[in-house]
Amino acid sequence: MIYTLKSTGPKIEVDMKGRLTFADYSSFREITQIVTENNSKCCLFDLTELEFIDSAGLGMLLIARDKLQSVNGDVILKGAQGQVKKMLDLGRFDSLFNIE
Amino acid sequence: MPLAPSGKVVKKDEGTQPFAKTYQKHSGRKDFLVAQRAVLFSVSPTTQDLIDAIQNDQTVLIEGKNLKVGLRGFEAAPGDLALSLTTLTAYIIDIIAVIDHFLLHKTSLHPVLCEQILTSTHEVVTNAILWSNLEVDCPNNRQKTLNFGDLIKERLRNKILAQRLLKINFHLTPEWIDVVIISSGKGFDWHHAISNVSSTVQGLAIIHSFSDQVIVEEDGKILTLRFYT
Repeated sequence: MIYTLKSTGPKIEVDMKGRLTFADYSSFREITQIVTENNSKCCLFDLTELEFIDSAGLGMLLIARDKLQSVNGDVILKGAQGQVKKMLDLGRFDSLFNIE
Repeated sequence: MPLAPSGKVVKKDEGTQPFAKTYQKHSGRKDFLVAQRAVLFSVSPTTQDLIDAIQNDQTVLIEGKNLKVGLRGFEAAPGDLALSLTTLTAYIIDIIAVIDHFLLHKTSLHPVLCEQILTSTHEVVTNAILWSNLEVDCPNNRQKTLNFGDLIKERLRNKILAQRLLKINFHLTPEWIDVVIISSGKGFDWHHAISNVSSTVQGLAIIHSFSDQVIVEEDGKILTLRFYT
């Protein structure tokens, strides 16, 4: 997975490309560290160019949600399609996240 | 890379092979089907090596010097795919790209079914690498999983764990496709685990959602996913 971060005030936007799988724990930890250091209250994950996600990747999104909720923040998921959309549907992520 | 003639095994970069003797020795086993074409990699294959081999209809891809020929991990008929990789290679290479290439270019399965097979196979392969071959313990705290990257790298530095084999076989019939994943580490109580799945985002739930049948053997070290076509 390749990611780029854009920070606008308390909001961080993370664009993800490629695949989010169990091989990406370290990369995702970097993202959560930046979100924490930035004191962000809102994190938007743009999944438009994410091609594949596994259960570990879904778990990472839930970790981000837990972290943001612990500071009364929010996680938004945007642009999921194909296999990624199906996996989010399977995990009923629409009931757990704000989805744009 | 040299193409292996039917029924022969070629050691990459060397052309001839001591491996052929082992192949003959075990060819009488009841559970040993014929490996039509095989590549024995003397060095760790890259993702592109594997994709090239699949593209060239080399149906068996092998790595390692101490292979146990026979058993179910080495079965392959024409059109099948059989991968036998060390844990280290399975972790390093882009296994999703390899399987995706096989499904999309070497089968005529519907793309939606290919996606389901890829997703659930990847979940089983991940389980095999982490829980079985690398013997990583399942975390009881979601936050702790973010440290998995470090833990996986630490385990891969252990040569015994890193060299354990992981075998992935795709067996196609006119009615269904079987994906057999064989790990060589710890066993796994599949039935207990599946009855305790608490979330639909867990790998086991995904595997069950996407596959038509799951067959568990050898204490969970052999898992067969069946998909009706």
